[in-house]
Amino acid sequence: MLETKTLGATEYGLAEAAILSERWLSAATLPDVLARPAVITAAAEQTSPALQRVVIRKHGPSLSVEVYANHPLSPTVLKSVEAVVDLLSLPPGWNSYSARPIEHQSAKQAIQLLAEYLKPGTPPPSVVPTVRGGIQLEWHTAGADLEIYIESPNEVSFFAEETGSGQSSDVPLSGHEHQLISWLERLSGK
Amino acid sequence: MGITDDCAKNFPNGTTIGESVALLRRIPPKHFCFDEKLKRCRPSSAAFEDDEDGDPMSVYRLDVIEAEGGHISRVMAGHEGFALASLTAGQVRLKEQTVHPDPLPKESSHTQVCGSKPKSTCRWFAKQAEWALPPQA
Repeated sequence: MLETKTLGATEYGLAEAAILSERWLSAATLPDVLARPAVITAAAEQTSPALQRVVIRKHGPSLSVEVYANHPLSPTVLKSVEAVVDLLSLPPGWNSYSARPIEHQSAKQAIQLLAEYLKPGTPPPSVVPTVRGGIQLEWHTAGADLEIYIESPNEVSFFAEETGSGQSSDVPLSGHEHQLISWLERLSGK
Repeated sequence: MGITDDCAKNFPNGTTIGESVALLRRIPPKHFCFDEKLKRCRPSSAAFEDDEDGDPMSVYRLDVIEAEGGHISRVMAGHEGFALASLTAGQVRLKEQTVHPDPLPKESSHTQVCGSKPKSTCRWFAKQAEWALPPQA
């Protein structure tokens, strides 16, 4: 269950689109069952055209996630960001074997990708934790499969395959951004 | 590529484990994905990655559980909300994995699936897997 964090004088909920429209600022605090000692701070500013920055901070037993956007984020993006934030509370061994907690840097990268690449009409992805602390964004539609693998901020790749033609891509994101955009448009039926 | 030296040496194939033996893997709720093409929920490819602790993927042999008069629910104790996916030994061996018996004091059916698991292999496992205990609605 996602809780909210007080920012200034107002409590903002991550899914409250109206507030986001006014302030373009969103934050969430959730119990940090891991009690991780490190304080994780600011990502670089202007990380993408859509986002100014994503900040993940540790406050005692809680963790806050602040997303500063240059424009209102769509409900699909917000819902997906909530799913990413939710993963940050996974304890070690969350898969019943030896999975690691999700890396904050991977979460930040996932949020940036969601804000940058999900357009109106893009179906929401499944937001999936990986056993090594990364995140996968997955779409399995009737027409195509797309999986984006965020192993670390510098290690992002994707696999996509079209059902009918069997056409596929299995490449690093860097240098293949236009391919990813094209696959996402196919998922949207464009 | 073939079976890796480490797997052949440290996690050799159990010669008595037939190709049709069902290998069961617990799947956490975060790894349930709906596949429109299959028109059903299936495990994510992420459910079949090796952990980083160096140990191969853990599974449980259905034939051992049944031979002991047990039920598959015994490997789900304490894991509410999880589901149980099934692959056969033959399927995982097709992807150059060994199926190594590794009985534990608390679970005699414990088995390890050792081998390189590139994402293509994990995706294949995810699509081939069937539910032994499906996700609860």
